[in-house]
Amino acid sequence: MSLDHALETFLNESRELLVDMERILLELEANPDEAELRNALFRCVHTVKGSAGMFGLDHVVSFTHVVENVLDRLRAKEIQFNSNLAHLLLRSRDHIAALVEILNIDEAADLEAEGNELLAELKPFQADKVTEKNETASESTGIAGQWHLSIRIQKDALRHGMDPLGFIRFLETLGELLSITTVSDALPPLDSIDPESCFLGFEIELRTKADRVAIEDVFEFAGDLYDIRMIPPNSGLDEYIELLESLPEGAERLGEILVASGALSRNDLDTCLQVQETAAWTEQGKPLGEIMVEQGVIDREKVGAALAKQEQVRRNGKKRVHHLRIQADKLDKLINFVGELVIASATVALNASRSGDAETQESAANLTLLVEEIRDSALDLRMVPIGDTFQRFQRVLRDISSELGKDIQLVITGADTELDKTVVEKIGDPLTHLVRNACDHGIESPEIRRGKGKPAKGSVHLNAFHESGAIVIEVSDDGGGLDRDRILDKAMSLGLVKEDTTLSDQEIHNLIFEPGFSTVDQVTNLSGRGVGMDVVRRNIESLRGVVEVLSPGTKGGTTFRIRLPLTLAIIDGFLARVGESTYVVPLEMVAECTELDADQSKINEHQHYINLRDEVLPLIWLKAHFCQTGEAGRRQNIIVVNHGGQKAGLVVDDLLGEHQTVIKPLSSIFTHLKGVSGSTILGNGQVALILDVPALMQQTVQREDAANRVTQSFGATPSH
Amino acid sequence: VDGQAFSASADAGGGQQVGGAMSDAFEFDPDSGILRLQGELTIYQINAVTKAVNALINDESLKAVELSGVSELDCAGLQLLLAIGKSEVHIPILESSPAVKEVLTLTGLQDQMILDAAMKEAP
Repeated sequence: MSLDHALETFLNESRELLVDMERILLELEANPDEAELRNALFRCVHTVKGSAGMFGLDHVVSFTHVVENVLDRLRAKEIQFNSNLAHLLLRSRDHIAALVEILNIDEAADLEAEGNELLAELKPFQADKVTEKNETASESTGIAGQWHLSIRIQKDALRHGMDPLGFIRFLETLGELLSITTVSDALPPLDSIDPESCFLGFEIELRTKADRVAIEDVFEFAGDLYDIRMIPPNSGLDEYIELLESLPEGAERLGEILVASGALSRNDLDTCLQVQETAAWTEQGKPLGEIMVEQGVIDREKVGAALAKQEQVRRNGKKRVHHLRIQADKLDKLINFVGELVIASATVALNASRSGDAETQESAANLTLLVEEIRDSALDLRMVPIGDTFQRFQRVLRDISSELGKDIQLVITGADTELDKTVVEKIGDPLTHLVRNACDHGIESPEIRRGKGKPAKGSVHLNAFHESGAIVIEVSDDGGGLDRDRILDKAMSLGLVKEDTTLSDQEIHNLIFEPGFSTVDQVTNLSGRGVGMDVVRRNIESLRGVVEVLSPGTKGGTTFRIRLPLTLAIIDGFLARVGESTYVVPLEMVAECTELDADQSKINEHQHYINLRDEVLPLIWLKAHFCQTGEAGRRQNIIVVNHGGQKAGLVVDDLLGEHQTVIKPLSSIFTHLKGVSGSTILGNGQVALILDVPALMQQTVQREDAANRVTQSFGATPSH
Repeated sequence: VDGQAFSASADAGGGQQVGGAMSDAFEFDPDSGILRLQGELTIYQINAVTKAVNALINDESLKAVELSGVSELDCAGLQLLLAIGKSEVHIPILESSPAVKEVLTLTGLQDQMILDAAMKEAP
């Protein structure tokens, strides 16, 4: 980690904090009296300001300072929270977000106009200059107390850009620094010093109203590089004894510092040192606290309190989930290697089974099992809950509803549903389109809603859940739903549909995904320009997903249902031989395999369905479809695939079984190839194509429709 | 002229590559034996400055360090000053600058003997 890395960390953390800030602001709008939210809001900005200060990003600091000031007053309930202020703070948040991204001060000039405008608007909410210092210096609750902080710093801290002076300056904003002692005992002589390493420590007496969390927050940014020990106000001597023991300078030396800085009286120190000495020669099994009680230095109550505190700290520690920041490309590299590993292990398994040696086969099977687990864990690393993406829409919805003069709430369910980070990143835009569409076209104006007997407040529902190896994301509104006839009229006028065609409701609804399609007469800022739905569909299809529209949807209005694969890298595949080639069917789509039995085998490629347990199963003859040559197997097989509630049978020559498939994208000249979504390399080095089952099914459906229409028109003629 | 004089003394002190590109961080006057540190005294300059100080101490030409031109001091710079103050040969630190004074006050070092001179002469 160099200074650049520290900056990168700062950027990431600030981005996260600003996302939090937005979320909190929106929550606060719903519950304006929630004190905890106000505090959290303040802390977000406070931390951004603090870390920006550490990097000397003055343009960020000066603006955030004003916002912080306003938030501080908000926290102290000196000013009221209303939607005007919420709007202003949201805009300020956006401005901070823009400022943070600018690390070069010269570029900040571009944003200055907007900044000044916001500052002017914030002015009425700001505290008078006189009270400002005290305002920012205190955490709202509690009275000021004297804390003792012992800071020891890892040698590498300076190289990582974590200069202690920055932190001390920041501590000053929490309260009054009563005394600081710089401990330079560890400093090597001049001729052997590594001048870029840090050898200093600090003993600080801080008078502040801030609580432990607030003080810890100051150093949070430094992570493991700083070793902070804190003694809260009015602590017993035992805390100091512990401190004296734990620091490297030795109890005597440190004791002198504590006395000099006013943390301990001379008497206290003597007691501490005595206790410590006693402890040194008393049998080791006895806890220090007990020794002290025995000696009558402190009473049992105090020890009890200290123990309870330790216990609490331990409990809190357990609750906390530790996170590790990893560069995304490192993860990608790992996944790539895992992909190669999967291929390599498939080769091993193949060779083992060819060798016929039972022991080798067993080892290969073990290996395959482990590789599968590694694959799953590696892919799991990339999984993130979709909730963060959903939360972003709180803000989108808020802005849209004020723009449109509609009252719309966002309901989120299934926020914990996890999916691949790459997918999450790419799904944001299509979702935004859908949400905007729902607000603009779906949900009616309050007057119309009242007229229909619906609540004036419309709602947009975002939902996510897992379903057979895929994630399903739904965007539903409780609006008017799709107008079937209008869509049809429009489609006819655009020449998308011929006058005399008969379409099912579903087909008509799907017309909205055609390029250039919009039924709204008035183009608004948000949508209605007829770009969008086709882009949405294209984006989703590029993620190997599908989108469908249901009207009426799950909430009465329209529901857009997006079905996406969980990951883009590796799938469980099912291998089948067709002619001389091997194809892979995604295993999660395989419902069952069955033999094409004797009387059915009489049927040839012109028969497009069979009777499977009294159900009509459409057939796709892969050999004909892909124009494969080669010997048919003695008995052909059907792979029954299930997709989106529909079934189809793929006719293949041979079933080769399960195979972990690392998806290798096809080169760009094959992008228009329908029915194939990618390729993979088999254990024997052969390339196998991965079938795009939804596309195949769609092609079949279209073909069937065409055939039906022909039959229908033939059938209809005589009756005329 | 100062820069050249310094380069010569640095060579005498073991042929280390000091001065040159880094000469804008410090200036050595061989007549008075005073090393003037100037501009930023931070982790970016600290290696070069430390080398220079050690070289000058080795050939016994360093008499004092002067800080009035220091515009920025970070923890690395502060450590160097503390290390100079602790060195066996007594090297007084003369004059200070507002930036240095601010750091010394912040870190509670303003009363330490070694930097006494620096504080007294501060503006």
